[in-house]
Amino acid sequence: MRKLLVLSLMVLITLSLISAAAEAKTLEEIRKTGKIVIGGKGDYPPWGVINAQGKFEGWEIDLCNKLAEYLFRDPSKVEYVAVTGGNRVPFLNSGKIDIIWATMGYTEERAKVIDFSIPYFSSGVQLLVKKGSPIKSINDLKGKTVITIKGTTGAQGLEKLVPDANQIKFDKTSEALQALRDDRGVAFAQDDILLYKLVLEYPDYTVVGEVFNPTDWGVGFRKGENDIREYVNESLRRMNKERYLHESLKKWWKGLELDEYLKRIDAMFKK
Amino acid sequence: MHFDIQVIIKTIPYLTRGLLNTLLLAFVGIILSSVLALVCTPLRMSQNRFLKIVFSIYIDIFRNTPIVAQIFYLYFALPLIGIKVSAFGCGLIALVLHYNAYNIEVLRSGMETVPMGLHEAGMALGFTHIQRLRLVILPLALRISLPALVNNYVSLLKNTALVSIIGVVELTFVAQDVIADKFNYLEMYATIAVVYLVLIFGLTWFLREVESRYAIVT
Repeated sequence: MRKLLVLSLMVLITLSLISAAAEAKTLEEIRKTGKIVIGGKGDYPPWGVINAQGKFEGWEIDLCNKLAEYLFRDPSKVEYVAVTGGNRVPFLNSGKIDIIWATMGYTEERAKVIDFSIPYFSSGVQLLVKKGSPIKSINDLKGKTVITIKGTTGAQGLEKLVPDANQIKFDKTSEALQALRDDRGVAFAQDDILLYKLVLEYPDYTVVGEVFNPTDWGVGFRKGENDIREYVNESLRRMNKERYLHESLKKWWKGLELDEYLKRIDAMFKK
Repeated sequence: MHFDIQVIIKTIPYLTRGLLNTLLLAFVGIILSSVLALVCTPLRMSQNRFLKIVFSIYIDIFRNTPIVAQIFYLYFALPLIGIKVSAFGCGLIALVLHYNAYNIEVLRSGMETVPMGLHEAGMALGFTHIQRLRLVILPLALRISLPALVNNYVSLLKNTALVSIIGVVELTFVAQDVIADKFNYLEMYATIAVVYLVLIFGLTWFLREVESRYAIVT
């Protein structure tokens, strides 16, 4: 009986430790602290990557800096925290970061726990394979081992579309790529535009298959922090009007055919 | 935020799959790291200088580097020189090599506390070196070291969680994977915390029974 008591007490302590949720913040509070803490990608070029000098850079980082410029009249007033697909929502909801700006697509599951901004980009999932691979489409993945990243639309889409494919899931793009190189899986399912970028760097690989699970990307907020969300929405519209979204995208995607993506962005903001 | 028991019930099949892998890793890991340590400890303590150096380098490397680094190394670096082991294999090998290093040091201190007189008594009875080890020294050293070994076993069981980083579907991986999709971190981490607690209570209870049966009465 005493053992049971001790056990349940321990469980209670564990529960209370992990359920300590963050207090809601307002735009005014962020303004007062003089900086905004943003969860960005540190391993996802050219959206967000930590460069050789240890600084964050990329298209989304440009947008974050622009937001800081609107907010504080100083683009450097951003504190970046590198997040992964798996930890960004917990980071946000535990108060480690103010907003998520990390290649995050809108899903119903996510919308249950966080709020989204208006979309600023849209991508789908395709497959990265070694050149000459017999894999041509996601239908070829039945019974095969596929590399994915935990919690991404690639992993979730594949689960639904090809449930009998065996997934090995990693936390980082670099790990997934190394696993593909070591033939631990026949393909790597991930956002198409990241794969196109990787192909530019690694010509031994190629992107195949139809685009599946298309998703709109949005900035993530804690539930109910509407003033911050409204401000970011307004900033995004302004960046669209000033063509900053487009110019920065072109800068980071040098050498890639972008018309399709630019058209997608324009269509999104017309809605 | 409320505690959604439904989510846990839905993931029971997936959790069970993870639990089986955790149990397999821990069980095989404990057995192999112990058997290996029983063989390695006398070699480490032998008078042969070459063996001494080899084992002290091995122990230094595996005790003084993070097990996470060892797991990553086995999984991602070895294929570059043509050695490719499955994720489960890599995890198991890393756990065994890491805890073997710890177990050797524990057993060594156990062996060193066996009085010199018993070595000499063995010699007087005409036992060979191997016989002395097998019949006199190791059985005693094992009993002396058991409490410290239990610590290593508990640590091994908990560190099976680290194998999740290379995609082995064990308990922690299952929790992280479900959380990455559904964000129910409260429910999942509480669930696996309880499962780990129960596993470790079970393990320590069993080993305490063993301990009390084989304890040296002084």
